[in-house]
Amino acid sequence: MPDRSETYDRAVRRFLDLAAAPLRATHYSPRALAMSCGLPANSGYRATYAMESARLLRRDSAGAYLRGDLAGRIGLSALGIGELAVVALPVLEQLRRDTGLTALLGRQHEGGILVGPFAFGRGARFVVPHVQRLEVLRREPGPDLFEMRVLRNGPEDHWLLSHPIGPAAPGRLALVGLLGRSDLKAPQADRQAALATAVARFSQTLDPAAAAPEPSNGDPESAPKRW
Amino acid sequence: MTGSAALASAPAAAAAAGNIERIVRVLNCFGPDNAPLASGALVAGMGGSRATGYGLLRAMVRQGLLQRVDHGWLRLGPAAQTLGFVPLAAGYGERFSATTVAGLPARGRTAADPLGHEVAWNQHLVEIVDHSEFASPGPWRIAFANASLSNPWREALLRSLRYGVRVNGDMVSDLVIETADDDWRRQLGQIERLLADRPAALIVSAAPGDDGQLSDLLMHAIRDGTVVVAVDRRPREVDATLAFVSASGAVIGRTSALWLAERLAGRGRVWMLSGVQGASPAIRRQGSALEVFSDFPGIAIEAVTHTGWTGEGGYRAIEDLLDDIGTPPDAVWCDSGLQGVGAVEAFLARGLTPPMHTGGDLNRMYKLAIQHRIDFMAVDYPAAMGALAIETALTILRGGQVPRRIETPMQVILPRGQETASVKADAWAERHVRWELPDDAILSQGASLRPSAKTAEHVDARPL
Repeated sequence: MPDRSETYDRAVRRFLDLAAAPLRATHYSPRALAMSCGLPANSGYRATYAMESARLLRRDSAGAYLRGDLAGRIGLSALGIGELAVVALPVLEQLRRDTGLTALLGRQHEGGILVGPFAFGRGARFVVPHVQRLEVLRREPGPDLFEMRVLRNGPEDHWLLSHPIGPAAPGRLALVGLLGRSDLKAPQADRQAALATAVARFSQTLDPAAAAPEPSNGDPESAPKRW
Repeated sequence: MTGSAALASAPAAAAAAGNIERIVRVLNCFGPDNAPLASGALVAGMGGSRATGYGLLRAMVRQGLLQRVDHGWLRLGPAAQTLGFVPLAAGYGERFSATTVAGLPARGRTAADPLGHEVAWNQHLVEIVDHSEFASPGPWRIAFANASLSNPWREALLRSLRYGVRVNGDMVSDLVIETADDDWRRQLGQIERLLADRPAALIVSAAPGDDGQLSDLLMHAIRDGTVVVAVDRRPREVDATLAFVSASGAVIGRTSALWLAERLAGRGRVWMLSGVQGASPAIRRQGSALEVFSDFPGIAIEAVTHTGWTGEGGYRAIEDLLDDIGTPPDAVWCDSGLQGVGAVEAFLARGLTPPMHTGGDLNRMYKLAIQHRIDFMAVDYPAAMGALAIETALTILRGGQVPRRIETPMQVILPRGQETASVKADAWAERHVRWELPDDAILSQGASLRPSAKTAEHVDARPL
């Protein structure tokens, strides 16, 4: 009987390749995406179609492939925080639309914030590939505005807004918005205020406690929030 | 037609799409808290035959999408965690697609990512482990089992580690250090003695050559409640440490080789000088460099040799190769400047112009490259990881969460005007070099290199 383990390994590799393809370059057709992974046009098309049907991949308004919301949910579930997936991506998307700035989720850690890989601009040189703890260098009075150290190819200091999510506890989550490198210019007051408002509002939306069923007295204002 | 015969004759395309749907179904089964699920249940929900189901599950475990937690129980693994990186806009990988180099793409990389960042950072980076069971009240006693002090980098690592203790002085009651002179058997005995004194944490930089006994000893120590952190070189088994503080040897090897190949326009003779034979960073750097060189058919690797990461080793290697081969090469690939300085000096001693070189770390390497206008690039292997190892051990002792593998950031250092299509400078060598510091200063040791305000001297100059 032939050894089929290579077939299964190839299928898993194909899955991971296709899921990673939108991170490497922009593709506007299933054929281009499949070919970028070295797949034959026919089987590549079907595999891409299967991934898109399952929401592992999606397309933006211009038709470019992106990772889909199911990929995000699986990733967050693998980290044990899958419950946030329902709202995290729409919230981050909305935050980005409202402010035009990079936003991401982090975990409070040792007085800093532990974040996964993220990108704060177009081009691979804007990718921060490492899981790292953002160190607080300076805290400004007023909203939760910090100057924090981001390690990319070398250390860079950035202004970030961070808002905790959920009850105070070690390792609690935080919604983070990036305002830009601190050596270039001070964050403009209006951008800062807009981001502060948006981050605070959206972090409330993400708060699991806000989703807990509460007794309603019929007043629409006191009805439990849906998320 | 039997079931297996029908499966074998099914069109490959349909099978591919079918398997992808099955993989998605499995990944979709797990709840938000990633609670383990029975493999039998996963197979039942997958559709298709049991043989296919179990075959796919095994492949998913092999490639990290799933993780075994007990016999027959699985949960989402580290490769699944990476799916959580969902950029909101397309096109952030575009920059590399414009800088495709002749000879690429190749294994482990794509045309859009010639440096292989995906390979370098996509695996296991988000495996964060909760160590609350190791929480204990401080201050703590820490032991350090060091592989050796055989070169300036290793001395800088120790300085950085001591610096980490100094800045966390109130949390560390005692630091005990043993050095094994790169002899793994000696290190085994030293670690047994260190563990007999019941330190709260043991930091290990593993001596090369271990046959697995070191891993067994460390796993036993972890079971007994000792926090074990590896720095720079890890033991053979990944599970023999709670965290590994290092920097990517693959990035050093790949970036330096790609720079050489591009500077040579894909054609030339290269001699490769590695560090300590059997040391894990040396293996990773050399393997990654060879992988890049293999994509350039015009690059001839004439020699691969080991130097023990010493200037004398580098000098001797070049002497021997010049005697054997006669004609100097077009380029010398060194995985560190520790041997690179010896290699450059060997060419100079014979009145030859040093060829293109790689290898940083050592201040003298930068001084030589700039003084003699050598075509040169370096990725400093950060000695600052010593202090990071102390911080990691203290975080675990406080019951915190840490990534299983902690990457210390690195910089690409180039003299001005020597960037290539794919390799750009993070810092210029002319600004990175420290003319006022001794030749053997290691520039990547972080804060431990800074002048001390109290003593007005460099920590670098303090006795070990």
